[in-house]
Amino acid sequence: MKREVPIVLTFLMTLLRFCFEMLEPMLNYQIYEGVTLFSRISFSVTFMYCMGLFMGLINLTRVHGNTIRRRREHWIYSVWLLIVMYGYAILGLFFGGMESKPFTWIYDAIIVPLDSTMFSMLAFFIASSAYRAFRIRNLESIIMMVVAFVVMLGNVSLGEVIWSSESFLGGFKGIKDWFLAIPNAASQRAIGIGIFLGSYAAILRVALGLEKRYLGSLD
Amino acid sequence: MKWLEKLDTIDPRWVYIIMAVSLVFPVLKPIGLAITIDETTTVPVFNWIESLQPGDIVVGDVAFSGGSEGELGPQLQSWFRHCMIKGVKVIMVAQWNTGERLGYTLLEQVANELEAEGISAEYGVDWVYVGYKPGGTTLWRQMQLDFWGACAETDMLGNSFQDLPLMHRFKKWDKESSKGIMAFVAGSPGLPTYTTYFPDYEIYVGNVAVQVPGAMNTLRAGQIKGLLAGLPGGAQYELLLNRPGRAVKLMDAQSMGHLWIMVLVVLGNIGFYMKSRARDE
Amino acid sequence: MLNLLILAAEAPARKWGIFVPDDSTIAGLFLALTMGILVYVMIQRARAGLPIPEIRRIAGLEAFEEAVGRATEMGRPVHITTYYQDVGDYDTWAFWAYLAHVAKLCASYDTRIINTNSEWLTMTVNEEIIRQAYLEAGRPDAFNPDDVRFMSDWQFGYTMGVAGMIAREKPAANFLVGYFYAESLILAEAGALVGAIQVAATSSTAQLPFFVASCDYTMIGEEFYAGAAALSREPVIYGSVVAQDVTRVALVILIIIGAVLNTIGSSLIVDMIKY
Repeated sequence: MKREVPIVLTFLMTLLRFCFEMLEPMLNYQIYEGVTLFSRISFSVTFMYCMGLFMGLINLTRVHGNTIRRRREHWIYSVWLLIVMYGYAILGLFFGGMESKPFTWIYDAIIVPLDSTMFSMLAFFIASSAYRAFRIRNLESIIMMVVAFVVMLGNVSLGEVIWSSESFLGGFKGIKDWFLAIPNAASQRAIGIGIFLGSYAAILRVALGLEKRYLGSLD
Repeated sequence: MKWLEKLDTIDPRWVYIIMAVSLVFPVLKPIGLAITIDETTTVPVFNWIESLQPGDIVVGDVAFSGGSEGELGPQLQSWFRHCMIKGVKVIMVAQWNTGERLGYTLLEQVANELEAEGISAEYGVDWVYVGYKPGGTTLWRQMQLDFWGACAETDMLGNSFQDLPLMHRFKKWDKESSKGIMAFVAGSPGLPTYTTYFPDYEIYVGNVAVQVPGAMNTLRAGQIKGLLAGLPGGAQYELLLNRPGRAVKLMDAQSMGHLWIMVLVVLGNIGFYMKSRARDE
Repeated sequence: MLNLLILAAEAPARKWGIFVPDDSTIAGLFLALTMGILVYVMIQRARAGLPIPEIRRIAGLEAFEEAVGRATEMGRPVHITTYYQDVGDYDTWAFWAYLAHVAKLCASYDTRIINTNSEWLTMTVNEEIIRQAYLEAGRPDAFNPDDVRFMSDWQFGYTMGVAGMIAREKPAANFLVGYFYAESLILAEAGALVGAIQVAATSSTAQLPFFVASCDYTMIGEEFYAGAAALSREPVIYGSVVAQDVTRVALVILIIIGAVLNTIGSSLIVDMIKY
């Protein structure tokens, strides 16, 4: 029963969602005055998201609690994690919510700059990665390098200075626009179609109960 | 020419230091390189807001977090500023819970600046920040049918929709009540929510630069009508609005960063070629 | 006045009486049902051992063996990770096929395997997969549960945790398999800085350029899913990959016909797809 019930539920919910998208009477079906079946189901999805958050909280506590109890490597960071996680949650829930000064300060002064800082490392890593990877070894690498240079210059003001967009072929910008609009769009669509087919097949396997790995089964 | 061979193995720390200098220096001492306005991507977004009438409602979506704030923050702020100047009303939602608070902070900044200039940007009347609501695309679908119910009739700040005059004009998210969608996206969930569930709506996108190649095919297919492409898109929008700000200021830094990468690639190839030649000899 | 006119206007008629009057409803339904039937038929054929088209050799899969072999020779661990690990996501299911394969290789070569995670629930499944691999290799004692680590579900918390782990543990092989976002380049560069051989497999088109630039081998888009099918050797997955390919061929034919017709001025295919 432990596996059969989720599989049946999955199939029914997939079918229901599919019907909501396709069949208008289903979408507008009212279970009682002014309340549609779809709205009730979407509320239940909202509840599931919230429950998922709650479960994540419990399990993070369990995982890091185990780390602290067993004094595994870097257990002190687990202590800090639990302090920050519960502290921030308590602050938000009981001391003024989203509008309270400490809550917004922690978000604006710590979380956002940390996020931005980590993201900004990409600028440095792309430089070292490009330096290491862009070596002219064959025709494909020459083409890749030339296209990369053109697109880079087409995106920035420096390219405009070197070869203006008002001159022949539209400058670097004009060529960049062509690259993005034609070869790039074609390959993105091709890859996108492939990815869609792959993901749709995976969803079908789950809906039909043929895929059980998400239930923890290894077969 | 042994030193040329050493160009093949430059210490990454030098790469990073020079990159840091090339990014920071133009911010402190702007060079003033010209910025071209893109007619196919940025101008349609600008023209869309220009074509709207005072009182029209548009919906914006904050689908990014602090990491993408550098590119999408200026886009969001200049687009919002444009809406307020034109008298267009804005309702903001957020697909990302991590960007919810950030989006509000950015818009509040702009609203305060506009109020100081005498341009109306009153919360509840000119704009409402609904924020993040859990439920994913199912909830977004529900918003189309019953926006109030889907959002539990409260905004991010806990205000009831009953107390917000603007929300009385927005009971359902359909093509009659909103004159378009502006989604600022940095990943997933993002643009596919709108191209899948809002296919006949006027969709405009503010994207991080890395996702622009992926968004171009939706632009060419007509699924989206305009696109702000990364930092250049934000800078162009600021110039169109005649209010150069953070994005314009950072464009020189972007140029210098790109230049350093190109120089690095050339140097690396020189070193690689010299090494190969020495090996062959 | 305009609003009154809009309200008075007739709503678009339902298609065939019950279907939503949006573009592509019927065409989408047709494609969904056709592919559903095809997937089911191919899976049943694969299960029954009936002949179905073979999946070609995917070159990227050999890179996994080569990388694990290299790590064994150097006496350094192997690292495998994916960022977007929602347990209900198809990228995660595909990742599990690669994880099982790499875990089996590591267990048989007696090489240490480190798996880092951003999702606690998936981590428990990953731990089970690796434990099972060691059990099947006859080395249950060699399995170390501390090498299956949960980093953070925050994108950059996870990224920094993994980058730090790579800098400390210095794996000789770094496998980045699954759906990634902006952290892809940071992880790949961290691996490159310690000299690891890197193999990436992702369906995230935005991160492909970064992987191609910084990894030794990259499996692109659907190769990732097909690779999972080839590794798992399960009739279910094998059959569905074949069904995908058949659908793909049909779509390509449709695209070519549509392009030709559109060029000569006929919008037949476009209208069919929009119906």
